[in-house]
Amino acid sequence: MPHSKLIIEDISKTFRRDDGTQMPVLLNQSMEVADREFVALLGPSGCGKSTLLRIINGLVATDTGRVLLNGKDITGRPGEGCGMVFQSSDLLPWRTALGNVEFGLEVQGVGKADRQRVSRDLLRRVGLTEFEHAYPHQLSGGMQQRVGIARAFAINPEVLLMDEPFGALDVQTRDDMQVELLRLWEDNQKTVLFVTHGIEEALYLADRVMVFSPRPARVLKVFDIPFPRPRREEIKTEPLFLEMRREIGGLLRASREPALA
Amino acid sequence: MERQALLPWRLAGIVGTLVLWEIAGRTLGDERLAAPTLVAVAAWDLIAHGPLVTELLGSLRQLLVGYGLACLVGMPLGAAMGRSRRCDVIVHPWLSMLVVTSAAALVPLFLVLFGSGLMFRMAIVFMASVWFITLTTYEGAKRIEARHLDVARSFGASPMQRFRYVLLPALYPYLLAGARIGLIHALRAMVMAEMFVLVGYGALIHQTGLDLSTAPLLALLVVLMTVSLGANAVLQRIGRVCAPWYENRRRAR
Repeated sequence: MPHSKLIIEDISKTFRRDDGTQMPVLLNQSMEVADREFVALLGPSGCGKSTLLRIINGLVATDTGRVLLNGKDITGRPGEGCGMVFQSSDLLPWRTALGNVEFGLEVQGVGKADRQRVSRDLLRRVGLTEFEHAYPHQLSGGMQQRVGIARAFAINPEVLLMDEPFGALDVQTRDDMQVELLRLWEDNQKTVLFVTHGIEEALYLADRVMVFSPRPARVLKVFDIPFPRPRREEIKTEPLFLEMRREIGGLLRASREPALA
Repeated sequence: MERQALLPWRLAGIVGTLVLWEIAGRTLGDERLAAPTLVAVAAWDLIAHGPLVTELLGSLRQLLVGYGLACLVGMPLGAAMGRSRRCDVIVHPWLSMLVVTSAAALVPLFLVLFGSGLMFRMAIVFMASVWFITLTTYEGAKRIEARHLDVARSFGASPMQRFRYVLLPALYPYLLAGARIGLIHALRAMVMAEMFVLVGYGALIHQTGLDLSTAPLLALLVVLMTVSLGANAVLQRIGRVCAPWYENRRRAR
């Protein structure tokens, strides 16, 4: 890959438990992500892939290594080109849908007229025009996460980081959101790192799927996903899709076994 | 039940109590318990011709100084305690002790320290309200969610922006609740302190208590309650206008 957008070099992280013992979460992880590539980080819950995402975003300090975006060191510096979509959307409850989408632009000091124009356009694209004055508690889980996605898109980030964004939604809503995310992404292609524990979700969305082991997380295997873009939902029943799904499932199961024994 | 469906019951409660009071008043006689009709007349008389309004306004003006200071000290102190473990362990023992101390118990000490003038009343009002304001703000600051602060950090917000965009709005309902609880304690302490040094509205109550009829005394108490309720309602109203997301969310539950 000659033009890596995002380079992650030798990231390790160990947390201290309350009783003082060490808990290694990530061990010497490196990866490169190309411009406009959609990468899924797939692994069991609590394996450390979310921590990796938070380290890339600069929310969590890394013990070793560094993160480069366009060759520039952004380690430990949030707000430098990365937009994050959080697990349970985490909207600010005192802001309306519009206010939440505007948030990142407001922090950057963008004027009110400009940030409202950008935010209204994004709310329209996620189908929430009529809800711009609604507060988060008045929106369903799926609508909240649409606002969360619009909020991340609003700052026009170079890299979109998504931390199990659909994990808290019901199956039907999750499927709809996946379709909608792809539609948004195809309009405005960004480099995406998408953390998930859903095999089907990863295969359907991504160009590349990195399968992680349980804690401490390391990459077990990388799969290139051959399905053409724009993706159609029908691929989920194609033999190749099912075959890859089975293989990844087996890989994850095998990696869990030692922990059970 | 809906607010409107409950209205007749609300009115029945008020009217029923007034009727019982009227019967009790007529039975006991107004030297022991004046009936509400007599109290209403006395209240009108005190408001129109007596010293009630002047004394009340004078007392409230001084209350606002002590209470205002209590807000200025209690709100930042509570917020600092809620956000900093160190600040919490330094202040908390004192806060716990002072919040359970009755302001009346501090009167002898404060008379020695501040004399019987304006400083004394301000100090009592301050002490009676500041710890409740601190404690309520503290609870709010403790409950600020790390994930909301993470969102702000993720979007590159500076510490000042995190304060403005996350801490302040998250604290807002607690600041208002603290202000309301503090105001009620301030009003109580004000009258109590004035009865010790015989000035203002407290003195008026004290002197009127020596009257033959209890009607003017009860009138003074009713006016005091009305003022307290009114002040509380005003603060509640301010809260509803300024933090609609909070009121709506409570109603939605």
